[in-house]
Amino acid sequence: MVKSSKGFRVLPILFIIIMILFLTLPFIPLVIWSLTKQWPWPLLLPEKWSLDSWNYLFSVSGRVGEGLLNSFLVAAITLIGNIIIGIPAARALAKYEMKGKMIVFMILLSPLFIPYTVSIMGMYDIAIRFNFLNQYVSVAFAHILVTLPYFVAAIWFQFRLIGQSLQEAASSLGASEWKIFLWIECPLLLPSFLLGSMLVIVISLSQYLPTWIMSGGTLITIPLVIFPFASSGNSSLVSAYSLAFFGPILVLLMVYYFLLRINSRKNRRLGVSNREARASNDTD
Amino acid sequence: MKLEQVTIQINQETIIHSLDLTVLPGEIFVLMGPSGSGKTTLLKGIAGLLPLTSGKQSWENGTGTTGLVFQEPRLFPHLTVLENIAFGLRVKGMAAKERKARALDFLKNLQLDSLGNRYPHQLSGGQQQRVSLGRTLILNPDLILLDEPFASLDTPLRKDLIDWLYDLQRKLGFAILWVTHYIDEALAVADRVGVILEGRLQQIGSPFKIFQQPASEKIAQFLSLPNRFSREQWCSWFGRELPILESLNMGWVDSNHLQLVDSDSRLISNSIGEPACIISGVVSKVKPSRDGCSVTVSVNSQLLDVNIIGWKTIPGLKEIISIRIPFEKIHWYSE
Amino acid sequence: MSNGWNGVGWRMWQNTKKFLQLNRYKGLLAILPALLFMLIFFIGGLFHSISLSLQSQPLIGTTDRFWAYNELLNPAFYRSLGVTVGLAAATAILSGVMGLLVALFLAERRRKWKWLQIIFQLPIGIPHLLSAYLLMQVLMQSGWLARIAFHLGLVDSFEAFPVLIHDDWGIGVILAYLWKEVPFMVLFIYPFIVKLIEDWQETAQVLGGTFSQTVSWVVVPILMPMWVGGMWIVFAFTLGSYEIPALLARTSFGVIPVIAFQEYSQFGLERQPIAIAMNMVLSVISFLAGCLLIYLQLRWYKKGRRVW
Repeated sequence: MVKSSKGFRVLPILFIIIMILFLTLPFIPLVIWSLTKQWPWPLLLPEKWSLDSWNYLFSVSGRVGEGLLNSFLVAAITLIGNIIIGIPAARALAKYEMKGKMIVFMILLSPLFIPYTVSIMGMYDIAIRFNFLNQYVSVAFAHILVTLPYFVAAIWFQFRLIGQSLQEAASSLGASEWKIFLWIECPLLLPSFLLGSMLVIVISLSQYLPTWIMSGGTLITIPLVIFPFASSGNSSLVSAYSLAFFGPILVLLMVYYFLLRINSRKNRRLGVSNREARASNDTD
Repeated sequence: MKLEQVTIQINQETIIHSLDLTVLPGEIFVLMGPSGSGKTTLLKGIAGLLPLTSGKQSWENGTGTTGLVFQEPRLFPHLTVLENIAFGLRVKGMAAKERKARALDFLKNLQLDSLGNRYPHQLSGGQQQRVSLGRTLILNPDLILLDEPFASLDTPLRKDLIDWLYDLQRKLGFAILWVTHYIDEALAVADRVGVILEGRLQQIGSPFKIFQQPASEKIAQFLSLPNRFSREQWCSWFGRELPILESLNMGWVDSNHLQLVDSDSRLISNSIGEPACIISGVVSKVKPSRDGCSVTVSVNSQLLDVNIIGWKTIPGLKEIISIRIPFEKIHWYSE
Repeated sequence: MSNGWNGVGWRMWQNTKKFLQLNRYKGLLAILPALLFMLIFFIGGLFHSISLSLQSQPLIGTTDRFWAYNELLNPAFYRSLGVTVGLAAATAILSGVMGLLVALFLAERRRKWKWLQIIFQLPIGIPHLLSAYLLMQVLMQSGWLARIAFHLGLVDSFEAFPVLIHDDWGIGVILAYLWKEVPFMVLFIYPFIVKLIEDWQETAQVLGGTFSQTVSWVVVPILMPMWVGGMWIVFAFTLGSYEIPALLARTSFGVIPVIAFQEYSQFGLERQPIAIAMNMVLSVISFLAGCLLIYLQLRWYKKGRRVW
């Protein structure tokens, strides 16, 4: 039963509406541009519609399929890399006390606050040296550098929330460390794991410079397809490709929210300790 | 404050069923009940945190304010003790200087005089709970709602705080609706006691009344009244029909009123004329206590608890022993 | 669970000193891969860049190692620095404040308007260059907004529409950044806000507090470290970001990453150290800002406040 002052109700709603418009408006010209080749001022809607851009996109030289495939392949490898080195690190940081923890944190999170351009030059050098590695892997390397901070941060935070009590209880019952990890920590980790994974995938999919540098421009991911068109000023094609790019991301977002709802519904049914669930189920 | 036919539902599940309750000004009303009986839900409903599905809440003087104190202190970690206490005053729009002065003044009541500028994590559990109480008390609510306020503290601290709060209440005169499941706590402070089971108020009365005349076996069981047996059982032990109302078909007797006697029945001579019965059984457990020990005797697979004062005559396990039960000391109630 | 002799053997093993020693390093072992990875590649790249910027350039005729940095000591660079840092600071603060307001709004209505959250997350999926492009389409004088204004009768020709791209104040740039960073801030602080509200709403309510009082006196103060941290991330990112200013601001405007890239691409390898030096200056600024914030935070906590 929240007491609210009726007087200022309008202001926040107005603000939110403006924000929503601000965020969603740019998508409209995007869609329109993809469906026409000419859209002169001052027309609100183009006179001549055409599907040329979309046709080109789906044609062989459009390289959309290749772009999507490569993008997702690299994203998948990046995600796997993140999981392999990120989860143990986050877990150890949350669980154990160690000297120099601050320094470790700073290093792991450094890409977040050191402008990326600084490392790029250095990475170029390294890229040359890593020529022997599979293209996909070396590009994924660069992507892991960019995404690891987000992933580790998300997982670490969730570990802190879980605490140690459940694991200690299981350990006293004789469960081995590996089993504790699989059966107790993993299920509880799910929300932030999903969040972290989604961040990693989305960020990886939108990387241009790292991919370009590490593959010498040969590995065609969607951003690599789009950007040449962007600089050439072909609004129609750029819009079409952007939408093609955005589509999978939208699907991903939906999947993420869907999985999240399943997880929270399952938790509610099982009575997993959760402040909200506790408050609403409190019968005492 | 009066509650009439109050029902509270959460997620389609009825927690509180048609409850009637009145708390008189200046009284301490203790609400007792087992876990899951709906005590916290009721408090939240009275405090306004949960909506009443049906029923009415009314006050003697039209409207009234409540203050709810939780089991955990729940102090704001980013504020000092003084700022925590003054929080409610700040909500009301009081100026900062005045707030601080009032809070400083109130510290005396809480016996936390020098701790005003400390932060919550620097205080002990008992101190934190006192701050939590002070935070609510300074607002002078008409009715204070306490949800097992001292449950998370250890025993000696609990007793101290219970005494302290009781004295404070007598001095300042606010009404309290005090929820607990500790019987000793309830008896130490209550003007009246209410027993709530499964969302329904089962009985209200003074502590004496509740103990001597529990309204049902369920209540007696919750209160852990010792030596509860059916009337038939008592009759068979006494060997005759007992002059008790038909409706009272259960009886309990306090362990202190039972005496162990040896087979010579020597103790009987001390209380000639007092109707009593003697039954024999086997000692199954001996527990030491402050005064002596508590002996559990098994009589035909029924268990009786007897308290013995002094440590001189402690029976051994599996010993066959006799118990003397005076008829007068048995409290009768209906199931 | 292991049984019998195996169980006993396991327990005996656990008690040996060796096991205890190994265990102590278990934590270290776990973080090692990630740490090394980041250290070698990112930090390594960083140091490599630093060394590149400190090269002497015999070709031009100087042997001073710091010549690149000396080149930067001119008013034009200072001006560019001011512009870049100002841009980043404005973006950080604006996105911080707006993000906070949006997150609070969403948190208040989180049970009812879930779809709203998704709307606010959409821009995250778009890479920065694309968002620059999109915003350009919308904000330029012949863009979408201008056409709407025209149809509403607000402007007569496209020159009358205010200049938002390539303008003197960088408004278009800031708007483009906000388009992406406000959703980021919301994503970042929303979970914390929700948790804080759930933790403290009841307590504040029984003391008579309204929702807005709970928010301003309890939630926001406790949220402060996270909020400021998020703003710092936005600041650092904006400082070093290239794509948006490249598209939406004049080169003469003076955003440093753009200038740096220009130095690098137009004038060849000899000017590379200068480009790197410029970026290094930005990194140092971002680092110093972080140190300042941490110092302020420590002072805030010095009095004994503890929040997590």
